Amino acid sequence: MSAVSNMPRMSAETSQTKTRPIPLGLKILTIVTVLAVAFGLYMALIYAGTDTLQGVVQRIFYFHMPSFFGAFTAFIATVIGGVQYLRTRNLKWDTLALAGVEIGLALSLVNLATGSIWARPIWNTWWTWDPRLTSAAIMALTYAAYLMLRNGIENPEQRRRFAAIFGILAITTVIATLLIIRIRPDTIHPAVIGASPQNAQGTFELAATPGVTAALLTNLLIWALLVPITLMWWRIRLQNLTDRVEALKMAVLDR
Amino acid sequence: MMPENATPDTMSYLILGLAAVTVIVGALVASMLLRYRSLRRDIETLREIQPDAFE
Repeated sequence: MSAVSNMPRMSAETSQTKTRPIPLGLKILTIVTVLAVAFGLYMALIYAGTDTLQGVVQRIFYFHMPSFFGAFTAFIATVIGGVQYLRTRNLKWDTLALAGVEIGLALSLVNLATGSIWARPIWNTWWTWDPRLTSAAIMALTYAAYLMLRNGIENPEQRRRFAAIFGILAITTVIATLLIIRIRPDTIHPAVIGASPQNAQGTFELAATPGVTAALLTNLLIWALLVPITLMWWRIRLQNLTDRVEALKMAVLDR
Repeated sequence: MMPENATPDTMSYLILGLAAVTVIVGALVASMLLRYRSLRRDIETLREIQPDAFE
């Protein structure tokens, strides 16, 4: 039924056989992001001083924390896309929501992998079922489930509606991951902003080593804003092309 | 002998961490590129099968 209702849109799109040109804004944003990531690397690896207790592995932190906030940005886009799709039923919002999940999940994996690698020399283990780590793992698995379940629903309208609701509800796992170190005193995960939990291991003071605050703020700006926005824009373009090809296939089959 | 409060050598973990970031972000970008190329091939195939659908 939904495929039938989409037919006018598909017919209209059959003439759009060429890839739409890359917008100037996206070109500029991509160049700025690549240069900014390189600058962020310089700030993290050269500009910031070395932590005397942890050694150079502490520099992983400049990617670990910002990548979490990058995922947060992308998952907020999923919420916005989901809410707007349910309100308007406009496909562009569903595309935004999907892009947010895919990019957010990748950045969540960066967060989990870098955290695990940092933990090995500092906590003497790759992984522990600490409240913060567990909630971060649940968050990543929830968004992985979004992609799997979404692909498993045949009816396009039902799939988009389900994905919108799932994407809105899934943000609770992100908020839980953010807040859990404030409400669970038994976590060993350190907090950077504000006081660390009592049992935290591997803490460091921002002011103790020169350049740490500047390197953190620079990479936070890059990984929490520039990287997810740029990648989501590219992912949206890819999805638009996917939709156009699907429409073309339908049009060819109808002939 | 190293003094007890010497900064530990954790360089290998930093390299591993940077490699992980590169692999994950690289895999995401590569996956988008491959999907884009696959779609372009689909368009070309459709064009060969039914050229008048593109007029």
